[in-house]
Amino acid sequence: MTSSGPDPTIAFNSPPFSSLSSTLALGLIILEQDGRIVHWNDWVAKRSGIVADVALGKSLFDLWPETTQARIRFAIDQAITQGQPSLLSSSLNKYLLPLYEDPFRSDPVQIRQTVTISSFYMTARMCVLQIADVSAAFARESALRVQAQLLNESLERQAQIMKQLENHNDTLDSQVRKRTAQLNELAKHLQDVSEEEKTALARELHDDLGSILTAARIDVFSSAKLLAGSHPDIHAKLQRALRYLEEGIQTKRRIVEGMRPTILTQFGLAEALRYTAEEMAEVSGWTLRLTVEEDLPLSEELSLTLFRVAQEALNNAAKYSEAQCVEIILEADEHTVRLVIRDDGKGMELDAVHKPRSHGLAGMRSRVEARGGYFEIQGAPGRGVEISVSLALSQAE
Amino acid sequence: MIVGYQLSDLQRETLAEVFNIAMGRAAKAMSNIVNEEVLLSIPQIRMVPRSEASSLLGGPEQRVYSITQTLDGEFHADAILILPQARSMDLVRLMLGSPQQLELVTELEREALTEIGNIILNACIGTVTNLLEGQFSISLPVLQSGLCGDIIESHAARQSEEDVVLLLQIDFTVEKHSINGHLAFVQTVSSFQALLARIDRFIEKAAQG
Amino acid sequence: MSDKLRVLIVDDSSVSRMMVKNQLLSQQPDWTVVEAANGSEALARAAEAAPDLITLDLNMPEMDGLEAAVKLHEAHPQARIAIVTANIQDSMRQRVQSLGILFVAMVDKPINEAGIRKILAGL
Ligand SMILES: Nc1ncnc2c1ncn2[C@@H]1O[C@H](COP(=O)(O)OP(=O)(O)OP(=O)(O)O)[C@@H](O)[C@H]1O
Ligand SMILES: [Mg+2]
Repeated sequence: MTSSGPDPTIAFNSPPFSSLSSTLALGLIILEQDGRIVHWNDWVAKRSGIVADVALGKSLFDLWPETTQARIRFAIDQAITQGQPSLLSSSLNKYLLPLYEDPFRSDPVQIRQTVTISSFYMTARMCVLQIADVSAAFARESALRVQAQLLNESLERQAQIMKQLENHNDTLDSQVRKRTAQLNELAKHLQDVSEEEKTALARELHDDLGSILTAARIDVFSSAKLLAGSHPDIHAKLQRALRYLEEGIQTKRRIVEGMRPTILTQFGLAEALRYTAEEMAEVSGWTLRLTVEEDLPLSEELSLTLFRVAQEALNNAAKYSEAQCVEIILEADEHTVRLVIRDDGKGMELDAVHKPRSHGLAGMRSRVEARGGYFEIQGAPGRGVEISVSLALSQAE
Repeated sequence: MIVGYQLSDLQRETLAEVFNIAMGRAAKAMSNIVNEEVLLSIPQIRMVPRSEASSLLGGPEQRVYSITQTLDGEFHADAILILPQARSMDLVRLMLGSPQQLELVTELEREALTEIGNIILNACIGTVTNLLEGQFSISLPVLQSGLCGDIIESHAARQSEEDVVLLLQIDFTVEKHSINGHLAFVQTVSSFQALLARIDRFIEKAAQG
Repeated sequence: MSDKLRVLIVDDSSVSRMMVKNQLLSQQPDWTVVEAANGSEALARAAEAAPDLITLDLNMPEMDGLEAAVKLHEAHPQARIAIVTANIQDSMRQRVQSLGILFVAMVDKPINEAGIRKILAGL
C-alpha cells in the first residue's frame, strides 16, 4: 500500500488504541481494502482460538474460508467498495463467524452473534467488523418460546378437559332423560293396568252384583206385593229390605260410575266435565264458568287422564277451597290440549303439595307426566288455586 | 406543488427502473438468506414536500416501524424505510421461521427487521449514490417504532431550506405474505436538484449507448 | 454474425429499452431494432417484423415476461429469445427453465457491454 498516512497495522496495534480495544466487551476486527486483517482484538482472539499475531496480515477469507461465499463476504465488499454499512442479525444469519464460547473444547459451542460491518477512511477505506455475543438473548428467547409453548399446550389441555366434562355432562343429561322417560312409561303402564282392573271390576260389579241385586229386588218386590194384604208386618219388613236393596243398587251404580265413568265413554270429555262440574257446583254452591271445547279428537286414554285430573281438582276444591267461583277451561290447538281448573277460594301454600298423606296432587302430576305432558299448580294463600295441564294430542311414541 | 421538485415523466420512469433494479438485488439477497422467493417492487414514485409526506404514508397516526440510514457528504439525506407495524412482524417471523409465536416482539426479531431494512436501504442508497457519483458516509441502520408523523418530523434535514421527500411505494412479498411499505428519501431541495441533474445525465448516457 | 438481424426489444421501461438498443447497436450497427413496451405489443410487433432475436424483460405489467415468452415462442419459433431482467432469484430461474424454451441467455439489468456480448455469444 503506497500511501502517505500512518501504517494501519502499526496504528491499530499499539497503545492507546490497542489497550482500549482489548478492554472492549465486543469483538473488533479491522480489515484493509483487500481483506487483510490489521486489527484483531483480545475478545476475538479468545473466542476464535487464534491469537492476533497469527491473524494479523492474513486475509480474513483465507483465515476463515467459510466466510468466502457467505453474506458476510458480500457485506464486507459492500462496505469497502461503496461505504455501505450492514447489520447481520443473529436470527437471519445462523452461523456468521467461527467464534466459540470455549474454542479449545472438543465440541465447542458456537456463539450466537450479531455483526455490524461499516467502513471508515484512513489511508484508504477500511472495514470494521463489530461482533456482539447475543447467545444470552438467544437463550432467553428460546426459553420464552418454550414457556409460551408450554402455556399454549396447557391451555389446550384445559380446553380439552372442559370439553370432556361437557361431553360427560351431556351423557349424564341424556341418561337422566332416558331414565325419566322409563319411569314415566312405567307409571303410565301402572295406571293403565289399574284403570283396566277398575274397568274389569266395574263390569263384574255391574254384570254380576248388579244382576243379583236387581233379581233380588224383583223377587222381594213381587213377594211384598203378594203379602201386602195377608201379612202386613212381613210386608213392612220386605218394604224395608226393598229400600236397602235400592240403596245397594245405587251404591253399586255409584261405585261403577266412579271406576268406569260411562258418561265419559258415552258422551265424551266435554259432556263428562260439564256433568261432573255441575253436580259438584250444586252441592258446594259454586258459580261455574265453563269454557269447554266440544268434540276434540282425544284418545280414550287421554280423555281419561284429563277427566281424572278434573275430578281430583274439583274434589280438592270442594274439600278445601271454600270458593265462590270455579272455572274450567278445555281447549286445544293443532298439537296440544289444555285443561285448566281454577278456583277463587282460600288458596294454599305450595308446600302443601308435599303433605305426606296427600296423593291427589302427586297423582295428577304423575298421570300427566307419564303421558309426556306438562302439569302446573299455582296458588298462594288468599289467591285460589289453579291447576293447568297440557298434553300432546298425538302421543309421541 | 412548489416548482423545483417536479419530476418529468422520463425522470420518473428512469428512477422507477433504477430502483426496481435495486429492489431486484435486495430481493435476491434476502431470498438467499431465507431460501424463499422474495418479491420487491416499486409501483409508484412521488416527490412531495416533507409536510405532506406523512399523510401519503397512511396518515400521521399510523403506527409504523422505520429503519433509517443517514447519508452525509456533498449533502445530507435520510433514507427511511417505513413499514406498517401491524403486519411487518408477521413477515419477519415468516422469514425467521419462528416455531412459536409470541405476543411481544423480541429484541432479536427487531434486529432481524433492522437487517431486512438494511438490505433494502443499502440497495436503494447504492442506486442513489451511484447516480450521484459522490462520496458519502452512510450510517448503520436504526430501527424506530412509533407514529408515522413523528418519525417523518424527526428526520428534518439539517439545513434550513425546506425539505422534499422522494417517496417510493414498496410492495414486499414473501411466501404469499405481502406488505406495502414506503421508502422515503428526505433531503433538501438543492440536493434533490443535484439528483435530478444526475438522472438527466444518466438518461443522456443511456441514449448514447 | 455478419447477417443483418432484426431485433425486438421488449421492456416496459423506455430507459431500459434505450440502453439495450444503444448497447446492441454499438456492437452491431447494421442490425434493425423494433421496440415493444409490453407482452401484447410484443406479439403485434413480432408479427410485423418477424424478428431473429427478442430481448425480454420479465417484470412487466399486464402480460408478464414468462407468458410473453411462451406466446412469442409459439408464434415465432425461429426467433431466439434472451432474457434481460433485474436480479433473478433461483425460483424464477427454475420457472424460466421449466418453460422448455431454449433461451439465448439470461442477463442482469442494467444491461452493459458484457451482457450484450453474452447474448451475442449465445446466438
Ligand atoms: N283447591 C284447593 N284449595 C285449597 N287447598 C287445596 C286445594 N287443593 C289442594 N289443597 C291443599 O293441598 C293439599 C294436598 O292436596 P291433595 O289432593 O294432594 O291431598 P288430599 O286432598 O289432602 O288427599 P287425597 O287427595 O290423597 O285424598 C290438601 O290437603 C289441601 O290442604
Ligand atoms: Mg285430594
